[in-house]
Amino acid sequence: MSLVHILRRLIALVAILFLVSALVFAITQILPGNAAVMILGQNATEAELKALEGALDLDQSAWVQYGRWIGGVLAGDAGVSMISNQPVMETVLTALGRSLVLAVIAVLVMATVAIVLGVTAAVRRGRFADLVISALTYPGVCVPEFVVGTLLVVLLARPELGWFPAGGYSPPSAGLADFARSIALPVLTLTIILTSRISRQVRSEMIDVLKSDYVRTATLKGLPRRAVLYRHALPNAMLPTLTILALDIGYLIGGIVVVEEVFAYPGLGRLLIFSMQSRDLPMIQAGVLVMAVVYVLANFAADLLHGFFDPRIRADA
Amino acid sequence: MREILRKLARNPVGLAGAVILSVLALVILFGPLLAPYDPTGFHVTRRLEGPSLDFLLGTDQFGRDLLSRILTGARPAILFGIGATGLAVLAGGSVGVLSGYAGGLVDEAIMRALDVVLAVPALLFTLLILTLLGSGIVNAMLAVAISFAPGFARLTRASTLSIRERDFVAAAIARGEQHAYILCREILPNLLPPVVVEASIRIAQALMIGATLSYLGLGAQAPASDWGLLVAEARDYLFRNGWLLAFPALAIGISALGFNLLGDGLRDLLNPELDA
Amino acid sequence: MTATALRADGLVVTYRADGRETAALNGVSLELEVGETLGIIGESGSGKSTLAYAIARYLPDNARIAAGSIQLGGRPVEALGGEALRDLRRHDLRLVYQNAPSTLTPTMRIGPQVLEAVRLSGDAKAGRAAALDLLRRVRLADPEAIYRRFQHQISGGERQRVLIAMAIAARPRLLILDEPTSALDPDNARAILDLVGELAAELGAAVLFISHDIETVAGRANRLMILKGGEVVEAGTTAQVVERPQRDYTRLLLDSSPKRLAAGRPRPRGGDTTLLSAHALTVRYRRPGWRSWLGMDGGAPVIDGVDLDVPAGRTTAIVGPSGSGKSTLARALAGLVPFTGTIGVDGRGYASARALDAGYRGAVQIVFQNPDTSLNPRHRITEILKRPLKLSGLRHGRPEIEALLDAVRLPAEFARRYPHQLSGGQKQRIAIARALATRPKLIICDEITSALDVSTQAAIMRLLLELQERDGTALLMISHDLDLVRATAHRTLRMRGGRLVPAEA
Repeated sequence: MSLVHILRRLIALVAILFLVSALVFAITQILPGNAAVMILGQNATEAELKALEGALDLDQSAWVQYGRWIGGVLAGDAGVSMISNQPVMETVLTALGRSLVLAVIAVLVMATVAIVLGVTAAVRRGRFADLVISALTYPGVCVPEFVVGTLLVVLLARPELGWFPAGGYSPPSAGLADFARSIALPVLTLTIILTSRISRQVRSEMIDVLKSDYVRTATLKGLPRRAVLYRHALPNAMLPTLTILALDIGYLIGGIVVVEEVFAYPGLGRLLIFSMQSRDLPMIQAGVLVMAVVYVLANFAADLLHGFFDPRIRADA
Repeated sequence: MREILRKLARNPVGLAGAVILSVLALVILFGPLLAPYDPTGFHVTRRLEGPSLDFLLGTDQFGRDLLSRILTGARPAILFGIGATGLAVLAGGSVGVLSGYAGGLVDEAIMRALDVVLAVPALLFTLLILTLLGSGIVNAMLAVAISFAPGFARLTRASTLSIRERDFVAAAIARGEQHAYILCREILPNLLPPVVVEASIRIAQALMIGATLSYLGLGAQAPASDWGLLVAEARDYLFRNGWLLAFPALAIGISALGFNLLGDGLRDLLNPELDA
Repeated sequence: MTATALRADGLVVTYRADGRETAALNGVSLELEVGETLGIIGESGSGKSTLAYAIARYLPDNARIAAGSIQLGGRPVEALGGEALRDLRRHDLRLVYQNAPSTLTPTMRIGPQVLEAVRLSGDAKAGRAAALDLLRRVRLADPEAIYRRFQHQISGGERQRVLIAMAIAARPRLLILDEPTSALDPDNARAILDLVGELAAELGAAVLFISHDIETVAGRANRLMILKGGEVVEAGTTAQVVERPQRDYTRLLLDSSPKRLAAGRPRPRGGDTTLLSAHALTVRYRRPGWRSWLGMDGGAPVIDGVDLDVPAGRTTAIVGPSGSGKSTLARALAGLVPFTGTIGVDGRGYASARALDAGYRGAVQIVFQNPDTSLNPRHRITEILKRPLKLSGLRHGRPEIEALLDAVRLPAEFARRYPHQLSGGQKQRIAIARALATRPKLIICDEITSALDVSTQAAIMRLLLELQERDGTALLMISHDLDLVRATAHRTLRMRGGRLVPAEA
């Protein structure tokens, strides 16, 4: 994989990030016609609107407004919250950190479990193990996160039992055990849903690979089943799986937003919902942008990994 | 067409999906009529009860019959899913077909634009649009449609590109057919299978997102009988009457299951590459 | 070790599909001695591949050996499984099948895959040298380089040699070849088959050579067996079967060989008029990305300054290796790709693909290679045949459609059917009927028989020649099958690297 290849991808990445920021800005500030209307609502008086417009420099052209905003963001300043008057960037980044805890743990657990389940189901296709796994994963695809989360609360967060809290957050500084208990249910919710989705896709990829000509060649050499699986089949099934995982990070982000709301977990998702309900414009803009950046970066990383492992790209580029 | 229905009957997954959907269709058509009580009617003396002979699925915090609320909420929930997906297929699908057929600069431009939109995670994009449009179930449906459209555009574009290479399209060009004919009579009919499969699965997703948005307070508003709203309202009474969560959850799950099963069944049918 | 390398008795193999069980092999018996080569000839649907996989015990999940026995060197193997089966594969039996881009693992380099085969079948500690040795034995030009490469970096012929190398690593007693060279060009194919023959003789292995091509197999097998519909139609020594065939089907297969087609070649009619004449015809690759949008064409030429005169009423053939541009030439003449240069027909000249008008498109028609993709699967035959009639302003009612079907010897009731309800040969006839609709003066045939069974190929060619005899239609045949071309064409032109090479009659 040549440097040129990576460089070209990086440039595309930066371009997309700028365009995304413009899109976000347009939707939140330009399109509503007037951000003041958005913030104060439909019932604001002329005077109130004028005052706000002046304060926020909303009478400037769209480009100037965007330029000022993105310039600030790149310098680390995304403005000040309309609700709390605290610097937005700081709040967003702290919240991001807490969301990342959920995300990373969920992804790690999910990746392992999903691959094991998917490969097992594919190898034992049509037999008992496959049917059981399929039966277990199907519901996960048909039930939204908020339902799973609330179900887990009913089952595992009963106050009488005191196993897990029904919501909230206990920082690691206040004790690891409490911290673990406070993130357990949110992580479990995310994991259940993601594992169901991904394991089905892994199964599908693996089945295709097992039907391939090269698996036939390897088997007809007299290679033991396990070696065929690990040396010939799995590496080829993992490549498309990586792509799927990358795309599903978008789904994960959506899931995190909902899960944080269900469990009142103070992450970026919950912050965003709150900002949208209270029309805190700078917070919305920064929050959505940060999430989009994370998504694009994650996809980029997956892309690089894919290029690294796929000999077609590695050998030629 | 008849052949497809016959094969569907023999495919257990698709058949199960079709059965569930038939039940759902009945519920959509006759739901509110089947409801034993007025979904907004309070029965103050019978609040937060579990299932009983009078109230088959129990009552909520105001004494409203849960069964009636669920039956009434079926129509908007399912129509939301179908509506949002339908709009997305029309808008996104046609853009994709045109982009794939036209090729060249037009295609590149559209694909880059799609890339930018798709760089924002789906739910986030939906939420953004909702902040722009304001809450409400119609806006929510539009928002979901807009966030699904790029996916369908990509799908139809890819299919169009591959169909365009086939010799029967070349034969049409060779005999001098107009673009309109080639698009509508040669290419479009062959696009249907992948689009139908994807659409079935997306309807299930749209249904779930609709419920999620209502749960978050951004979709349907009280006192509607929206399934997502039911779960949101149940949140405060979870430990006193867990059925308030269980039954709406079941309703959402079964509806989504029906569409997913149908989609999977159709996919198996339309891709005859099973064994050997 | 007994003298009988392979023996099958009453083999029945069934497939389960759509809830029904059908027999792909219905009581097939055969016997093969050590050092012998037995050729198994069959067309599609004959069960020949099923036979290969049944013997190699690699049937798909929905197939099973319902009855009969298979014995390898006297040992019954039809019920083997697990370690015993793996042992069989490592030492006794190997299968070499049709070349395809995916027959080697894409994520592993070639060398380790060959080495794997060596270690499994022989010395578990064998090193790189042993693998390189094998690659040398199959006459690969640069074994060291191939060792390091991935499968997408080597050619089809090289890949097949690698597969053969892995096969002989086992020093098998039985070698099964299932259409090993169908996807290769004739020169490569011959070289590969010669190689296999030598290696088999060295190892003293018995060879089962399965193919649809009776000519090729007859040249290399001691005995032949003809398979049809899962049953043995005829069997005997090669000389017996080829010279004194007992059954009609065998005779049909032998008669379908291109050499016998020559008898049907119509005499050239209509004097020596030139129907179509192309000058300086050039087609270039489209440069990817922004350059092509800006109209900056000018990639390398696919066909370069071709001057071609197609005489009326006769068959002109264009042959050449793959990549020579002959298919692109066909498409350019059919107005499917942009070109520079001129095409003249009936006194009119056309200087670009866009200039080709209805008159041209009515006079010049094209039939494509693959009948599965040249008919729209969602259209009924009626619609497929109606369109060209309608576009040329001709009547397009039922009688006209039935007349077209009759011209290609298909029953009128096929009009209501969909393409997937027809066989490959029938679909190709529909494609020809579609081309006939406008009463063209020239039909371009782009490899139209390559995707068909041998007997069907012959039937289609005979149909076309009859039509030429009856209507005086000129045919421009693009093909890589030299035998076919020699038998049917009045004049043959060669293409190489995008240019026409001086003609031979």
